Amino acid sequence: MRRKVFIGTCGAALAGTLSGKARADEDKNFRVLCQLASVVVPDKDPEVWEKSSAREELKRAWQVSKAEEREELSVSLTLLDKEAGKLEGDRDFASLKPSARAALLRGLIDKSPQFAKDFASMRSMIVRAFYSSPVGYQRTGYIPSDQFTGYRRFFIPDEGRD
Amino acid sequence: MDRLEYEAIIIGLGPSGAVITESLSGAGWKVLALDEGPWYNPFRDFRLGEAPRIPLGLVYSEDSEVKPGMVKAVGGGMVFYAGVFFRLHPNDFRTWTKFGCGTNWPLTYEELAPFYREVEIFTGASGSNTNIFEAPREPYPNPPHPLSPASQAFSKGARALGCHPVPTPMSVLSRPYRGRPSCTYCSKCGWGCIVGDKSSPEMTYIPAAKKNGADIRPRHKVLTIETNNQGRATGVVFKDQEGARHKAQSDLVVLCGSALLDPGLLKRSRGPAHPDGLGARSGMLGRNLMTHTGGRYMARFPQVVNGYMGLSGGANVQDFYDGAPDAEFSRGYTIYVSLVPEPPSTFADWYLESWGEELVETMSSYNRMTRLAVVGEDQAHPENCVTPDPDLTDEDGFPLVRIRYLGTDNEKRLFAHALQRCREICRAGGADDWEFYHPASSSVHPLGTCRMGEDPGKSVVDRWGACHDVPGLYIMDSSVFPTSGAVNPALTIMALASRTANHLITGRRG
Repeated sequence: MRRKVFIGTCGAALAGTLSGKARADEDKNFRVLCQLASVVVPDKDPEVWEKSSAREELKRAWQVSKAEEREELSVSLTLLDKEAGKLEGDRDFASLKPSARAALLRGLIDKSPQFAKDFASMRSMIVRAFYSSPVGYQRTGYIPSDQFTGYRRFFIPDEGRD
Repeated sequence: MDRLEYEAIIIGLGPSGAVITESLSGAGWKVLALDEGPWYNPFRDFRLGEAPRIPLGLVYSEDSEVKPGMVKAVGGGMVFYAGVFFRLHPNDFRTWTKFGCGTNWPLTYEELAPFYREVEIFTGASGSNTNIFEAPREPYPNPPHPLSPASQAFSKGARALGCHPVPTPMSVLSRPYRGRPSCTYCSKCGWGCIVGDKSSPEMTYIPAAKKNGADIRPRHKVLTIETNNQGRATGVVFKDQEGARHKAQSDLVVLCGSALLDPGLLKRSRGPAHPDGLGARSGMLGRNLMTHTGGRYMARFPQVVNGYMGLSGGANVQDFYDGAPDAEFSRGYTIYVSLVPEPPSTFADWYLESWGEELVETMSSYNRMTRLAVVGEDQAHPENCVTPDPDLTDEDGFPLVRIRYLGTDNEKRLFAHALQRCREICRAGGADDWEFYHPASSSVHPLGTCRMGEDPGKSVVDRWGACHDVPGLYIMDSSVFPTSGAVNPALTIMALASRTANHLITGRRG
């Protein structure tokens, strides 16, 4: 936990050094990343990528990633918006229906090796954020080992053993 | 350079080095034991998660199909291993005679059995003596661990197919033993045990050796083994953690490194009587690398089995250990219940490539998954080898170890057969048709680069681990295995070491 707070603080400190324009771009990129996250890990709670622990985990991961990596991924995130605009007039990726977002994503992965590479990095960031958050634990039924106090109840002696 | 004198110098404090150091120091010998790795304090170093591991610094040929590895640590790979603690079977020592493949060992199961027993008692091994495929044996010092729900589902399926599942023998305490607590099933064996119930050498043999007065030195690297003009081992040159070089003398040097590192040290230890290095005369040094054919299979049950929890090992079947009627391959394999990778974020990131509904659907059944491990016998081939890299060197200017391992059709057919059995067992236990599997691309069971044998023209060491070419030099670790067997090798490595230590002590008394 202390480590997470430290990383979060460092990320916040870094973010604090950005100019207004750069920060606005960062915020926009992160918003698109969250929209992408909702396609990569869709959840029964439609707001999970807007206000849950998973979003916080993703924000931390985004903030502590290397600046060069963020820059590279931002190009692909911008591409998502551009391609969405081509599909439906002035619309951006966020305003597409979930099925349209998924179709767009699939098309870009097939078409662009660079996008596919960036998507693999972003997928990794997203699934790690979601499945290491409390909501991810809940969805998988995972009980972390520091909550293993009642652990032995899961074990039942087998009738076949001596 | 200062000079130190000992009755025995042990190089490497993995499972075999730990056993030999404890045995010789317990007999009153003055022993120096050197290991390049750290001596972790589990309660300090593993409490906050996985401790940083020091890799061996290996390079792999581009065509190497399996990348065996190991870590440097006092306690060796066992510090981070799961605790599976099988004996070999009597047939493993006679594969040429019985099956026309591999080679016979220069010793029998019966000769090794008392030393298996000795190690099991020292470590407090747990298990059941009801495995009908093993040689008849005494009860384990501790009872088997209770079966997890995943192991119960596996056992149910195996029984339905007429197989004979039994609890897997473990070097993990199932009840308090000799001042150490029993397992809490925290599932973190692979990160280093913080409870103290896993009987890896740093918790058992090494503290005992220290108590006996052995001079144990972590983070000390042996640079060369020294020999005299007559070719006899006389000691070692080593480097301490500050980089200072020292010379230690002894007329007994026991190399307990690993199948990956031993050949490099032996080759660079040239002397007037050994211009090509030590143990090199047969041409077998560095050859016959084996890694265990195998892989992992995952299935999904309708009920919660929490397959990521508890001990890797669970239950096992050895019904196919000596092959099967429909087998189109030599020898056979063991299947045991392993652990599903955790936490779920690691599983989703490293093992799956899907996204969207497919990913969510898979991950929603995470706590219903189980994972099986296949450990298959790997046939030795001289072309599978470790050699000095022609270009790359370590910080001391010594060539890095270059590894080349190519599988054969035999291994592929064996794994395909094992996968089908895994599938059938899980389905018979109630699993649905979801599955996930992969052959092993890495291995922590490197075996066989200094093979043991009676013929000095075809092997590096004799039946006791004494190097054919170098009086006073013993090699006693996973490198001496002539064949791999189809079980995790830790217990056999330790039993062989115990037998050799007993031989050395008896010889001196005699």
